[in-house]
Amino acid sequence: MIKLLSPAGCEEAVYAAFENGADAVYVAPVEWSRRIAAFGLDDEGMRRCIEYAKAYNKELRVPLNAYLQEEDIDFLLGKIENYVKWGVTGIIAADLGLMREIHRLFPQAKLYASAACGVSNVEKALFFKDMGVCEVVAPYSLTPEEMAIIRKEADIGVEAFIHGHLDFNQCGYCWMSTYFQRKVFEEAKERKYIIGSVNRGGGCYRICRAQWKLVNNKGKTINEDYLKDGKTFYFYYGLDLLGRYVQAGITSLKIMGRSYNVEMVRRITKLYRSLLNRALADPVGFKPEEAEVKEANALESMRFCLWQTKCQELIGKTSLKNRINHA
Amino acid sequence: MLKKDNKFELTTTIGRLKDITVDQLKCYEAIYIGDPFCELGRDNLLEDGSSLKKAIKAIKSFGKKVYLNTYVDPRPAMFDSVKHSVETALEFGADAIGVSNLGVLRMVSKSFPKAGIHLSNYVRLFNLRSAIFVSQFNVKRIVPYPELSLSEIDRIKANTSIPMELPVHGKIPLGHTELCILMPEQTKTKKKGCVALCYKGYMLRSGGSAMKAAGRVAFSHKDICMLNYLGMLLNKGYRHFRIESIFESGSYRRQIGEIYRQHIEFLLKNNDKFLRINPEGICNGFYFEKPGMEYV
Repeated sequence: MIKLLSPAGCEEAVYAAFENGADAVYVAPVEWSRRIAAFGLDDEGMRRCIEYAKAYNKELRVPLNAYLQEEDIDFLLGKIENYVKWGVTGIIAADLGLMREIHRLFPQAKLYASAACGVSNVEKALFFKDMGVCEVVAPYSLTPEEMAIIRKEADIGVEAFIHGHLDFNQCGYCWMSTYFQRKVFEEAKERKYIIGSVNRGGGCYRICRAQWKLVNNKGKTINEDYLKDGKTFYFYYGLDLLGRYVQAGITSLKIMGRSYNVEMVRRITKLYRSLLNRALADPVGFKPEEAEVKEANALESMRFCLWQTKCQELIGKTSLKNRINHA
Repeated sequence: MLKKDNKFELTTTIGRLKDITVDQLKCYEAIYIGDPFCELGRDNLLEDGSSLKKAIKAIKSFGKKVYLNTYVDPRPAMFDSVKHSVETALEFGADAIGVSNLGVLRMVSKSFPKAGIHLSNYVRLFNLRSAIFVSQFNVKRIVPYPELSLSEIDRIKANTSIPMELPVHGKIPLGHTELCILMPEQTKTKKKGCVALCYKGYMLRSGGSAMKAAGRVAFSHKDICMLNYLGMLLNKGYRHFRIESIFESGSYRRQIGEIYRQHIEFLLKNNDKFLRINPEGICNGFYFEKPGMEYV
């Protein structure tokens, strides 16, 4: 049985995802995941969402997947203790120190290895399994068949992305943004919040979305907008892969987008619920219908507009003042 | 005051057999071999057992230590090849295995339990608890994650027995891409297989900023340079220093190595003189917003 895992960045989005067919939702506490502080829940909001999920026999997973300072780990363990008490399904983490402590102190909570862990081989899946992890996220570039190998040989849950965007660097393997710009967010309440560092949980300036020229060793410009023209990153949805994911034994299908608004979360979840139901019924013969492809494209356009505006704004805050145009 | 331990190790990285010459490497104690970023890279030592053996023999004949790099992101189909490289390297006398992937860490520690492991910055250890956790895997050295500040590195160093190897000069890798950045350019050449554009000095430029493009890594355009801080690093007890030079020329590798070796040797040698001349020790006065008697 594959679980449909939807994103949420606020309480309303959590309810919208569940009401439209998500088996599980991932939502972070404010200030503590790999997103800017705006997307997340305070403790009371988190408690209500956990209790809601529990009441409807659904899953609520909490991403705490930034890499952490020593004192942050102690602080977060206090938060996790509350989540576990309220009945959270599990924690998504990337920091080895935090993961070890979660497994040691809260063995009743499920532990998920974040996409930032970059689990692309069986041995790495086994490494995390040894740490108590029940499910790992496969990188975009793995084929369903490679995911099946990990699923079978490591005997561990495998999560695949079904909707999102491929970044320039692999998830978790990027510190490009902080090389160009780094600043401490003074208003953060609970932690030293470093804007520019995704790995430290502060969001990024989307440096890779600026206009980059490729220049050879003689100083000659070979391409004016190389990363765009080279299709180094692109929007991704795995509509055509759904049947193969089912056959590969994938355990969760993840929709990316904790910064999506409530309406987008509702529509995306509804779309993929319908697709997944049909793929589960007939994985070999599964094919998305024209209306479904149309809806996926409409959602992608909506998301792209929001995303492009945000990129422009973020890049504008750095020294990279070029246009972005990746339509 | 500088600590009295006068031994140090200067390391660098080489991806191809043809870059291994005594002239380039004379300033280094140890060489990491193999391109850990890309399995498709032309002449990558990690993909050619015969060249790997020759490389190890050559470096050993120069009286240097050899550390084998392994891939940052090996896919399921690559794992047997990774294991084979490790086996070959150890058989031919490699002194340690450089590990960038937690799967490789597990494999090496289980299949080659006697092999010393050097964890690369790609393992991304941010805190003491993570460092303590990995110490169970016969880890002999850690290259700190690039975003860590020196005070964060100090904290890990002070509370574990694992030495830290600090990159002190060269380009900073800024991540790892899913695909070869230079593939579109390579495709234009219409040649089969990799044509090693990583070594050709391609740059990505945007306004006044830039990155060096090399296969599956964008490097910083500027070289990190800690030359002026070597005294402080030595004083803090660091003794393992890396010059990152995998896609640089032989001349770069030789010249930078010479500068750092001379500087470190000068600092360590003159430390003994300072101790004789100033038996009570030295301090920085009030320059660094610290009590005047402290030495940063």
